[in-house]
Amino acid sequence: MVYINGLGSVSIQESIIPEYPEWETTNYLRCHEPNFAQYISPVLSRRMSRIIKRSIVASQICLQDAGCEMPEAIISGTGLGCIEETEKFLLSMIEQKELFLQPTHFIQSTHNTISSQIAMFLKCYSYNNTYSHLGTSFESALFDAFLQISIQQINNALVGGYDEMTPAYKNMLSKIGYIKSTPFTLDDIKNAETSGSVMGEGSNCVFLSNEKTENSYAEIIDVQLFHAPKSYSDTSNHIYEFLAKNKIGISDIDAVMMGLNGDLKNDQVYYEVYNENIIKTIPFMYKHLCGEYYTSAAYGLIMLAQLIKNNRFSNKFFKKYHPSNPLKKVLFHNHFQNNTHSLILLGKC
Amino acid sequence: MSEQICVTGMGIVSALGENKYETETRLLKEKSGIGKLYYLNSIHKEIPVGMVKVPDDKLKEKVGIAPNSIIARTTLLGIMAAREAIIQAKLLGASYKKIGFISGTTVGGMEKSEIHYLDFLHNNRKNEYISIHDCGACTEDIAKHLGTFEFCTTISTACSSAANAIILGANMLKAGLLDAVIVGGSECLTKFHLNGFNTLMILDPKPCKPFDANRGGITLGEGAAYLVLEKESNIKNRKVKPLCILSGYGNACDAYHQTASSPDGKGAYLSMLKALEMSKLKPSDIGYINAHGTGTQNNDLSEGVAIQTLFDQVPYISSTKSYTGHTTSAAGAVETVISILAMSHNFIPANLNFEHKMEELSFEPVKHVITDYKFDHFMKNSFGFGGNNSSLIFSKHNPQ
Repeated sequence: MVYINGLGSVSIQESIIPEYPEWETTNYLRCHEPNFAQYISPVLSRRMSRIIKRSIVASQICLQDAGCEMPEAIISGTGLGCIEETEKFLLSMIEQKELFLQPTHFIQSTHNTISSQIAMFLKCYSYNNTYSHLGTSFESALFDAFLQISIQQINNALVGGYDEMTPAYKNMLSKIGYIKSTPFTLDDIKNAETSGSVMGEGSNCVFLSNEKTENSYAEIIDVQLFHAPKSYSDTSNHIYEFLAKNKIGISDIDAVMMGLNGDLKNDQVYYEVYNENIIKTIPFMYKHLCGEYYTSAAYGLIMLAQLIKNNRFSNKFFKKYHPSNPLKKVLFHNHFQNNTHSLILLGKC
Repeated sequence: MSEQICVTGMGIVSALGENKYETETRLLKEKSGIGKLYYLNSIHKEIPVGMVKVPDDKLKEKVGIAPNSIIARTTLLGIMAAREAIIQAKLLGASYKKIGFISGTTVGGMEKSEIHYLDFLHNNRKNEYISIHDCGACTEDIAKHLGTFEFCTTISTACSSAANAIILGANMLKAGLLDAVIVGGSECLTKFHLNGFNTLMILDPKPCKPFDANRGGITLGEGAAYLVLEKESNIKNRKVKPLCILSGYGNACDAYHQTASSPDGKGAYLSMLKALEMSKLKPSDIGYINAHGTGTQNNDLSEGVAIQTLFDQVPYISSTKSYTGHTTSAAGAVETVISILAMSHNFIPANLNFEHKMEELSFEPVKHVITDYKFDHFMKNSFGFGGNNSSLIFSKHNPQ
């Protein structure tokens, strides 16, 4: 049995329990920066890039929440890695024609900098790994942790999804259609019918353990990733098989948390797969609360974990429907370009 | 005893050649692949590197990709090496439903991004290169040219990426989640990391000499290598012979410094120890260590100290980076393939360019190739930036 025992988040929201301000009209939202000094000494902080600081804060909040001082594994997902540092080194290399470069930005540019800086901060010598696989980077990390706990190689793990969205990268992504060309409010992506999404960023962690505690938010019953489905019905079959493997049927699922992001093509996959014939539950969504980025699923999982535990969220959380009964079993489904899909089955503790 | 994880196929592309045969031939002749910087438009022409001696257009031709396709060199190298592994494992003829592909890379499509970056920023040109920049995009592109996969992901832990891909693949097989898995890594040279390592002043102006008292740093290389892993019970019905088994692995974090290793090699010691514990072998069972051995002052001392702490009697040891250069994210797989070739054909590859023993260490590496030497187990170390350390142990296959 695997439980989510702690949560930590630095996101565009001020608090881990999302509020619902009237979003400004934009297509790009940046993180609400926490009070770094509360978690990291100024001496250390000075040497850290923005994403490192955010990620260390998120991991600290998460470990404190779980009451764990030293995890048995630190497993991270990041789509872009330390893109700000990468851009700085890349640009100076090009502009200075490879001359008189400083190593600082290069040192902090590799994707695994985040995971290893968290380890250094904690002095944690245990298993450490980083996944960077586009929109399923976080779920790959979660999968690794779940797998290792299941085969009893480890008892617990700090799992995070970390991404920053720099203005330059955001501009690049808008050139290839990832971002809505006209400004939107985040809330509007609930009913969007155009291409692209609203960009966000964030550092979000969960603490997984094989031990149930008073703080446990939810049980993770199973995690699965699948690749390049041939059709919508192939995707449905994967979902049926996944549920059958866990000895439940689609009617046992109280809700599906979907990675709806306001992009017509992205969202269509969910509507096609979860049509009336398959499931009657009306979709829950989260990307209108955090913006879209490669590891936004980590934010979604945190929201879902809180939802399962507390069962109290405003209507704004859902596309149309507010659950009146406690959620016993919930499916989390995310995909990236209908190519990589992730399924997480969660249960109430 | 849990079921054995067998290696049934492997492929390699590096400065040593385009396949296993060329690689082994050069290893046995002590012919290093390190040479000039051919296909990278950098001002640092004087720095030796281990390049794959085939330009992009020829690589495209060799793997059957249209000349005008937008594809990263990392991807091309990956396709080439993974195909060789798939063919050897006869994977295409297997009636497997669930095959995984796990690849390690860190630079991804950077070698194209660094050419077109100003266009990305300021113009509406070369946009087609934007989406091939990411690590995951390279893995997806490789996968697309190989076949259909049930599972596909990318590991990016710098120089230990491929080793960690092997570990995840093995864990998935143990849990019964896949029938077979292709694991390894791919990385081409980029100006980005050539300059990055250069600013750290850890590139040797001459071909690297790992474990030498006067070593001057890394020689960068490029390449790709993949293994096909399967459970023993799965291959019984197929006409495939296991090349060897993966008997143990360990991943630990040095948690010391972003780019430097700890003086006592704590992370290295822990990853080797974990691998030994899983394999249930004694240090004295290990016949050969293929070291991470980058040739930097720091790594070779730290790794050496960790090795002599764990091994009372240090077995034959060499760093084959003196042949291939440091293939960074691919290194764990490139050097594993080299070591499996060595174990299968009874030789120990040399640690080229070694002259002077390090005072701090009790051992010295193998100076010249040793032939007709049989060994049953070897250890492969792969250590990355940030102290992401992993060790693997492979053993000769004994049918259970």
